[in-house]
Amino acid sequence: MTDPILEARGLAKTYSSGGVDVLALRGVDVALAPGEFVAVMGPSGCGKSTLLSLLGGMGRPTAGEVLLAGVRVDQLSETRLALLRRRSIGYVFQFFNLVPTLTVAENVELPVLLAGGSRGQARARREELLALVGIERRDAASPAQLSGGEQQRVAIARALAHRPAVLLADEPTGNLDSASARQVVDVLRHGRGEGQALLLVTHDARVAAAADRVLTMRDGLMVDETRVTPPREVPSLLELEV
Amino acid sequence: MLVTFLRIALAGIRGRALAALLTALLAAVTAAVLTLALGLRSVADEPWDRTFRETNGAHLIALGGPEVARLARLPGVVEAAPPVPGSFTSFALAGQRFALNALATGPEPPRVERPAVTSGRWLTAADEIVLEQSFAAALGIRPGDAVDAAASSGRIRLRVVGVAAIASGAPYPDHQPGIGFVARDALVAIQPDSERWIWSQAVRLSEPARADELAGRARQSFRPESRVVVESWFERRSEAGDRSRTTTIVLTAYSALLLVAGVLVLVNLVGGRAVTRHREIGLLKAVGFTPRLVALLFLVEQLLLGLAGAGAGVAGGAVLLPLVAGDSAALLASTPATVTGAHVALSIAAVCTLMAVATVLPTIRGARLGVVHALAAGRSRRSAGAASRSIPLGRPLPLTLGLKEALGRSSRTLIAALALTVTVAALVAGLTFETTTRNEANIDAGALAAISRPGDRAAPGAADQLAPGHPDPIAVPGMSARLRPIVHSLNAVLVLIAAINLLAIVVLTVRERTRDLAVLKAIGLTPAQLGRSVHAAQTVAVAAASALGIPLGLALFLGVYAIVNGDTDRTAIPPWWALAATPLLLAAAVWAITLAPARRASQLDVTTALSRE
Repeated sequence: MTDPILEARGLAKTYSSGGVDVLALRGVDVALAPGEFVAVMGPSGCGKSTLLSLLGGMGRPTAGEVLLAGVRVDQLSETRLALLRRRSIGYVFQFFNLVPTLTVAENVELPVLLAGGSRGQARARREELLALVGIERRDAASPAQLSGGEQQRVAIARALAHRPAVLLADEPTGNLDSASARQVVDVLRHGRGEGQALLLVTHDARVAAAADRVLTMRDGLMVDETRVTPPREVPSLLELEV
Repeated sequence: MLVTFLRIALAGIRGRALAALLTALLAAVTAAVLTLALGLRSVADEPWDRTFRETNGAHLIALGGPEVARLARLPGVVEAAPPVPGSFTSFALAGQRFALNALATGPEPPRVERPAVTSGRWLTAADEIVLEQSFAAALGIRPGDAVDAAASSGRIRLRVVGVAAIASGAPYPDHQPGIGFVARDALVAIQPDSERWIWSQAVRLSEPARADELAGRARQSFRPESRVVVESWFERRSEAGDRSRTTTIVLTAYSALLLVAGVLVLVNLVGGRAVTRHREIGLLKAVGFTPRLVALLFLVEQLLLGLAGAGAGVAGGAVLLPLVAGDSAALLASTPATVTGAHVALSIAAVCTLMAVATVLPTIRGARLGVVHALAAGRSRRSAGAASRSIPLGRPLPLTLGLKEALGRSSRTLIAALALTVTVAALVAGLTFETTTRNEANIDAGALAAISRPGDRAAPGAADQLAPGHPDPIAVPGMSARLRPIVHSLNAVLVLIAAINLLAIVVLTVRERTRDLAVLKAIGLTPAQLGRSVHAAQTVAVAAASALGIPLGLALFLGVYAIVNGDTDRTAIPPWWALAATPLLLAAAVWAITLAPARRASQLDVTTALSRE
């Protein structure tokens, strides 16, 4: 395996809720190679989303470490973490989380501008991505005017906009119908050719089947790892669907 | 059932502690502002008539020798107090001598023209004095001070034990000399020769409307050489009205501004509650609540908060009112304003009614939705409206994001802008008032001195009867100078209201934006940029308030001045740099007010914020 772009070692997270400590993660190891697509599965509350947020630098682990391109990032300041996210990490949320006061176009352009791109570069990238996700004609719309599937595609376009090395997706198809889910997974896999790693949390076995590896979590622990047959040799289940 | 209902309502309040606190705070501020506005209005509302009623004022007063007692025997007199003797004297204060009309009412105040003690107590000993309140206020004398009055034997030390209001003509210093109430022994010490005393006889009539006619008849009954002066209550009210007109206009203007500020806080309160609670409605309906029960539950919850907040607000307003309106009452020589039962009821009813409307209407709308729809609606948020779209997304990103956010919440931004505009207008009016006061002082330098007009209680020739130590002429400060503390204290109240209102708006907005801010943080905005975007969202309100508030303030002052004086020849506009500094100072103040919410926004935990649904 090539050097991982993203790695977690002995990752643990304890939440305190009503004076009671809840162990969300209990020492998880995970590594993600450039261009790799890894799916994480497991029952609700097993720690999948917590793992994703820690890997994305949106929370601090209670123990363990997170390395991005070999550099430890879990101890960085909030500001350094923000700079890291805008350069190297794209995040897709289950509930889309588009900024409601921005148009579709502005939601997609924002990460490019944040990463230091010019307005021209942001516009060009937005046009490219909205065409990719098939909603280029809705660029002036408000997020509230879009369907759930359309919103999720915009959210993916936003996550891809600044060409992050790692794309993290938290149940991106959880609120979508089958057709929309298929489109969303296809788009998420789009950046693999550029070496973009994808870590996707899902409950949907059909979505997980499109991954290179499937990790299974239970009670804050990684309990199983399954390598999926390379999709170039066997068409994915999604591709087999009518 | 009721107990269960209350428990659920209280649990709802506890579950949203910050929102509940903000709601109660806004209810309290609204109630306090309404109480202040109503109280201030009552000070300006016929102050002389109110004082006249509360002091059982005289319909006729005769001043002169002992023969004035005959007034009590005039047909139509229904009530009369024994005649009160008095004498003129003077005392020194801060290097200047002030004339004093010492009235020997004694330890028992007279039944008619009975002074109403506004601070301290009534006199009980020969070495004590109670001063009329406009006189005490003008000289800065308070209970506990002492004055050394000129007396036949040199001087007599009198301890000031109280301050009292009476319905005389104009307040001091328009009416001079100032009035003090002393014991008979003190009067004897000041002027042992009772032949030189001036007597006053106050009576009330069965037909007050005939006071002028009866005054004429009374004057004819006294011998011309007796030099008795008879005055009706109409004459005194007319003189008081002329003198207090400026003060009442200013107070009326400010009570209107306070009412506007109160309404803006109320609208903010309503706006805060208009944040739809569809998701909660959906959850309650899912567990079996009927739409009516949901509405009732929310109503109980809001009314509990409203009553608690409004109760505290009314109490706060009652404490603040004397501080804010005390100077006004002294200047008007009226009894101080108090919070009446009607004020309390009106303030609490206004707050609770609007809170009920603000709760029930969105709840009814929400309750009509199906459970699934209601749950989904709870997640939907605002859209990028036309105003928000008019700002292109660009650098600096925190600024454009903040502006888009502000324009996306147009109604709340409008409230913030209006609240700031009212405050800026009041401050600019105050600044113009200050500049004009100085201009008037320059124009009138030298001309305002030497006004020493014996009061309307003095009989002709009374000035000849002044005791040793005849005072120097006393300069009468212009009305503008006398209004200065009132204007500035009311401006301070408006600033406080605007600050609380703005803080509530920003806290509410940050709270509602938590998820959006977390998303922005997740895609790479630094904590500092998040904080700056919260600050930037207030730029619209600051710009609007500066653009509207400055001309509005100038117009407000010039309008009031023109009404009071008939022209604006003596007004002076503040220097350009002072007006130019106003937006900068406003921006700095708003930045300071927004500091804590912005810090909260910058430090929010993304995972926790996004996990809230």
